Amino acid sequence: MVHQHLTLDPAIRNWCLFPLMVVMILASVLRHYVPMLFQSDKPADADDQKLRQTLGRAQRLRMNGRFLHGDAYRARRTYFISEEKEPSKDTEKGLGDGMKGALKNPPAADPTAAISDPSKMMGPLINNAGFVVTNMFMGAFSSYFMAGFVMVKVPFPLTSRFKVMLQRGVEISTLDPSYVSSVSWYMLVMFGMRNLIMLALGESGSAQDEQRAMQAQMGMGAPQPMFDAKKAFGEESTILGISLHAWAGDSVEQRLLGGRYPVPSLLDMPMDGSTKGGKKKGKRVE
Amino acid sequence: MAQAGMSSAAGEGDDKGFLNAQNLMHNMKIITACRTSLCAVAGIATGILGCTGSMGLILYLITYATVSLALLAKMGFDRSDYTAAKKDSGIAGFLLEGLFGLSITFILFWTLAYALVYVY
Repeated sequence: MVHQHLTLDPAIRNWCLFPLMVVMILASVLRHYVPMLFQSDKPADADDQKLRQTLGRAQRLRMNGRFLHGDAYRARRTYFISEEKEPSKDTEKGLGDGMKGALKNPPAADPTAAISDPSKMMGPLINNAGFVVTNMFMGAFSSYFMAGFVMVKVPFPLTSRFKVMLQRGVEISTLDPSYVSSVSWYMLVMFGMRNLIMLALGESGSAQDEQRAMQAQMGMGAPQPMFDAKKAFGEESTILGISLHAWAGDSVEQRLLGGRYPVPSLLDMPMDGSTKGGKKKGKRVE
Repeated sequence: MAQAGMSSAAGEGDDKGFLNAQNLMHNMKIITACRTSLCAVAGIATGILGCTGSMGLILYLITYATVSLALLAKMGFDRSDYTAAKKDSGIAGFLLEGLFGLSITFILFWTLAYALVYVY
């Protein structure tokens, strides 16, 4: 290949190179923000929310149960994980071990729920459609307005096999394959800008995710798409079943008083003194 | 820039490998951000310098390895504390991690700067 140097018209730079790049960037931004418009903000399903909160209560019991006295803790644990078998006789019906624990009774997963909910099904579909439509539009845009221009020269040698693909619309057989037309510039911008766009928009995206997570914690956010109540309940009831309970108040006097906590032998003395004083008092009154 | 925000992903029990998932994601984001931005800048520099062909490729590899090395130095050459890597994983894997995914960004800016300076 003969080395050749072309100087391109600056008008091509001004009216093709830069506009295509800017339009691609704006299209990526659009593709990022438009799905947010379609996100449904409708309140969460009440039944689903109930299950989540049951799970949350069980978790809180497991984590903070040490502040409860043994009996109180056991009562709550029973509420969550008791089995239906062996009902105890002395309790009224439904309150003893005969009750089925709240965690032992997950509702059967409804396979039609996800399908019947149109917004859940439409979400990914809209995203995909948006991607395809914008890509098609961009491809048509670049090939319609910028066909036949030699856009850029890639700074590395290419073999003449690439001519057909990268110089579409430029039918000059002697042109160095490094000079490419709008289609390849379009491809280059599309793939190369993706990383940078993610970098630029990642901040806001993650901030939104954090906000959503916080809302979900407060019990008012949209539910995460994959919540398998049966599995989560089973895991939680197992963990709750094997977790040990130690009451935090067991030796609380000792911990509060520290070194001043009286040893039992010393404990007796002031009690004796007080009883003596009481006796003296009583004598005086007599 | 964002390097200062790197936080240790490993919690108290280092040996058992408790990972703070939030810090881990934060670190990965910072590493990707450093690499992506440096790839873009290196591409522009390469294009302005007028490097073509294999020279540009070599410059890209050098830049990428340097950035990764700098990140490793920031992590004290033990990335198991900051990323999901195993305890004694070598540094070679980190140097060239994600090389191909970012090469297209480098090529884009290389082409752009080269075209603006030398072709137009």
